[in-house]
Amino acid sequence: MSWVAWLSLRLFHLVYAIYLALWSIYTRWFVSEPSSLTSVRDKLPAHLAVNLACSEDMTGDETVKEAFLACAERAVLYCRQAGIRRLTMYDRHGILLSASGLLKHRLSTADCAVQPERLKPSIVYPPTPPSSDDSDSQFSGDEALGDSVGLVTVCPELAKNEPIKKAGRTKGSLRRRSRACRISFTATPNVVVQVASQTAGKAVLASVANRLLHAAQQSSESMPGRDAKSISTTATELQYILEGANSPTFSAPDLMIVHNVSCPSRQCSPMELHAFPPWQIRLTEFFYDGAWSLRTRVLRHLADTLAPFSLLTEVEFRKALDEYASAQFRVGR
Amino acid sequence: MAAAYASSSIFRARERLVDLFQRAVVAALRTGPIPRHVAFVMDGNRRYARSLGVRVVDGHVSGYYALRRVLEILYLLGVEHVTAYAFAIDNFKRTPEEVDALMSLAQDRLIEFCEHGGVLREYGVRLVAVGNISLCPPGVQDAIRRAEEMTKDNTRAVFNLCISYASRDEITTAVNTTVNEKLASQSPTPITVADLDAHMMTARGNSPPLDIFVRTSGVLRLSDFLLWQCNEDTQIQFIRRYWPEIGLLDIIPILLDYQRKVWSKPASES
Repeated sequence: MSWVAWLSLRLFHLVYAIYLALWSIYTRWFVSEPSSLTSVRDKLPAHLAVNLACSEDMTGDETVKEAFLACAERAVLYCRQAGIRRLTMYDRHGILLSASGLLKHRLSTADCAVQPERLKPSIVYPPTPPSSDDSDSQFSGDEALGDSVGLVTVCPELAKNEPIKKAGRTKGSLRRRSRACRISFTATPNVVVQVASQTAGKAVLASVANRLLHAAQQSSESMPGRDAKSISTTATELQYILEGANSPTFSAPDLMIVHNVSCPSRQCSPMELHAFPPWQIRLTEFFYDGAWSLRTRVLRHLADTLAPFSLLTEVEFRKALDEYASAQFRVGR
Repeated sequence: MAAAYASSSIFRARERLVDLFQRAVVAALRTGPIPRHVAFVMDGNRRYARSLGVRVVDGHVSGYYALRRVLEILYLLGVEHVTAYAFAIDNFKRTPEEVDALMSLAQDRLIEFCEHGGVLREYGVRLVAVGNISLCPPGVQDAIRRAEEMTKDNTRAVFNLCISYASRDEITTAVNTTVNEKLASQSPTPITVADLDAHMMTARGNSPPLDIFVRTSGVLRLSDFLLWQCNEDTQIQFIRRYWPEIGLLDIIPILLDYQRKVWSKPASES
């Protein structure tokens, strides 16, 4: 009878594959159009993350990097139009991280409101003093800006030490306003864009643990004859270290769009998080559309070159914002 | 009287048919790859109760029966580790009446789970309580201890019951424990991700990496559950039905998705 069970399972899978294909067509053709990017929604995410995924065997492909960069450019554009101020572009293998210089250049040339600037990572490790760095060095073009914590800020907001955004009435402020006019030619808000990879995740937690260990050992060495005091860090303290309070570190995204850039081997495969930093996703709302459009899949079956990748689309972005706006947050209550 | 007998016979026959159907489906699914570790966020008990116009506590009781049902299906399938999010640290913010009702339910049903005829006893499942148990009332702590003692020799499978749990609390505890162990042993080696992994609460039951994470009721968040365990190669499934409504028909597509993933992997990765 085991062959009956084996055959039954194959039948289940066939029926399921047909169901998924039909469901994919239904969701694309018969579900109502999402609201526009600039529509007023009940709530907007203050921090959006876009998690780009591709097949393992394509991570070294130059065309994948181009596809990721194109997705990042689109995401920044959509965020600006929707009024989202903080964006994290994430991919597991650090493809965007290694191309962050190029991304910064493209975003700079696309919109004069962005002034490239290298920011040092702002994760604070207690209580050991931070290691020396070259934070005073200037950004120098195409060099990869990935660092050991796997997080780079590409496009900073016009921050406190930047020219004042609002015009004043005094002579000095008029001078500042003219500088602000030189920097910003559009009225659209700027977007803080961070680029991250999996090295900003569990490895950072291990690094923080090592810093705490080192601090406890140093404390014990400064008091010879006494055993090292055990530590008792709280979740709030870890949150401060990992997400930061006063500087643009890796705060928790409110909404995450997970997007398969390369064609998934199975239609409508379930969402995966591709090693996105675990601490930050506690209350993150997810949006995931696992289906490639029928047209794209047909083109791909004809020839890979006709539809090599799926780029982030505005419709997908708008659907994500609509889902987020309708989400209810009870936080345990 | 004849009508009552006939009705009862029809009911028993229907139950028998449902049971046969379930076993046939399970037998078919077992011919393919089966996940080793599945986790559930049992969400939607209160909304289910409100949709039926019953008390919230009745929704939680229905949720308990759903848990029994799901555990039975999964252990029949051969899943070795099941983790369920029964009560979050944040849930203590609910009304005292509801918290008391939930704690009372946990206290009563935990022992029922482990006794003769209970799911855990029947399938040789070891219960591991995961969470900050010291926050629970003494009666619940005692029930947990007894349940763990009753099942400690079971070796066929593990049930991680997350009670008074929060993933960030788990990660923080793992960091503290790992650091303090290194301090005590004066080990010169640095702390690695694997060290933190070994100190997660789910490691108590030697649970392998999570294969499937399921959340019911249509909510699209992880809500501080198994963040460390599910962020890599875990399939995340959000299903619209409320937890008390879940059954075999909801589990089938989840299993099929898992099998499709395993079959689509290159032979070198399998």
